[in-house]
Amino acid sequence: MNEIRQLIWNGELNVLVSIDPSFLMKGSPKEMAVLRIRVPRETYLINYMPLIWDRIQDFLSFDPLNEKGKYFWFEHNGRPIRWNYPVGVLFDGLVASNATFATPSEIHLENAITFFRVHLVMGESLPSTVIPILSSSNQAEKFWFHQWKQVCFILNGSSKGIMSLSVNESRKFWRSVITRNFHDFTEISNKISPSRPRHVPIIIQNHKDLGTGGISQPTIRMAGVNPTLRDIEEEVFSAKEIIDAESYVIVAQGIEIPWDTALLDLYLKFRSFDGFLYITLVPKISVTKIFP
Amino acid sequence: MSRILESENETESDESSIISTNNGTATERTRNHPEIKSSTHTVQNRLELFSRRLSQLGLASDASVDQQLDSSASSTYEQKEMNKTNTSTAEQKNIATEQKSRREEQDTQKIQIKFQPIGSIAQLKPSVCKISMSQPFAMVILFLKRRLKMDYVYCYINNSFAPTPQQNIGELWTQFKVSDELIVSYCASVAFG
Repeated sequence: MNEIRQLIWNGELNVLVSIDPSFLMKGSPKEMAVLRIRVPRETYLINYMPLIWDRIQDFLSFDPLNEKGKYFWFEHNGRPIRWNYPVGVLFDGLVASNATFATPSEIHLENAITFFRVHLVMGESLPSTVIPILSSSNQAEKFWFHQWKQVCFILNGSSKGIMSLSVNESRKFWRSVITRNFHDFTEISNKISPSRPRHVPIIIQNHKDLGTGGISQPTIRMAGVNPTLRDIEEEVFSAKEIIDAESYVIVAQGIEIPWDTALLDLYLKFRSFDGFLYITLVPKISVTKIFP
Repeated sequence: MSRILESENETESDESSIISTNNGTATERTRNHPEIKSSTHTVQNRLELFSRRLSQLGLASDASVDQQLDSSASSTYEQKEMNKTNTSTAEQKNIATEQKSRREEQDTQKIQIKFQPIGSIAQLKPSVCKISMSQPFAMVILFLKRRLKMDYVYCYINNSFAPTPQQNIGELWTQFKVSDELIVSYCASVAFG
């Protein structure tokens, strides 16, 4: 099991961050507005904000960390992206919505590298449902810790497991995410999660309106049962419209998952770095394009 | 003392009457027809005969309906699977339509939120409010900010964690309710880091 988890932990994506010209002074070199980075699937986009600011600080037309009344957020093809989901989950969600990752010049190339293209934009008001990006360096850490507290509550019925970690252990836990230390991460996350949880912390990405909605967090009881994904089909398709399950595949961590996979097994192997198991419903047409 | 004992006897008899009504028609008949009382075996035989007749007619007794309801509520996944294979496409569509209407009903349903202040922040009056299940948690934050006339409010569920503003209130309530109430603590500064 650890081998699978390690492979998932090491999963990375090519991310191309383009910075809106409004951030930069006139006459700034164009290449400064583009950043190509290899980002672990198991991280937040905002963990790269210091790198982005550092890259463009000499060409900035204002001080983004101290500018009042201005908000920043990421977009993909003009649609706001929620930074509070792991990068891999965001990518899977865009695959589900049939987003294109290639530029018009790359579309005919067979061996073109797939880039997850994100655009950093600025405005005086924030799109609804997007959490503002703050100047504080520990925003991601605090958010992530609360996610784990929620996960601990769902798994055990209380947050005692995570709250009883020592200060050093809590720091080590977050540091393991930043420094990509799989051993430390597994050691502490295993302390929080029981072998037989009460419920499974699961977040499902629907195929519709991924920019603004399409996310559900159903309650799935595990007491005395070990359901497969097919058994929880009703919870998976929590949409109001009638959906044919056969025309969708389930994707977790960028991997197609068979419907007859046991949920607990899937959770223990494929859960994300914030403790949740993210499942994305991808129409079969999109899957053949991106995950051949 | 005797009165207490009497009342105890009364309650006993009351209880027995309750139990008897719960047991069904058999005991009632024994009261109305003392001749049957003498032989409980006859009653049992008759009951068995009735139940056989009912089963022949294809009618289910109340108890079996209850059992069905219970089993549907706690039906095993294998049973679900078997049902799925048996139902035709038309039936599946009906089920889906039913599910759709049930979910729509759930969305319009309202749940209770209990607000608990932390520290020196003002207490909301009344402290219990109702909100539609389909709303995101951002609505609760917005409501608190407006009622308290504050720019920032920090909210926590069950004095533990801060949910994301995008989370659905209905789902939060289902997962974390305490006595059918979602307990939301609020503070003017960070309370639980």
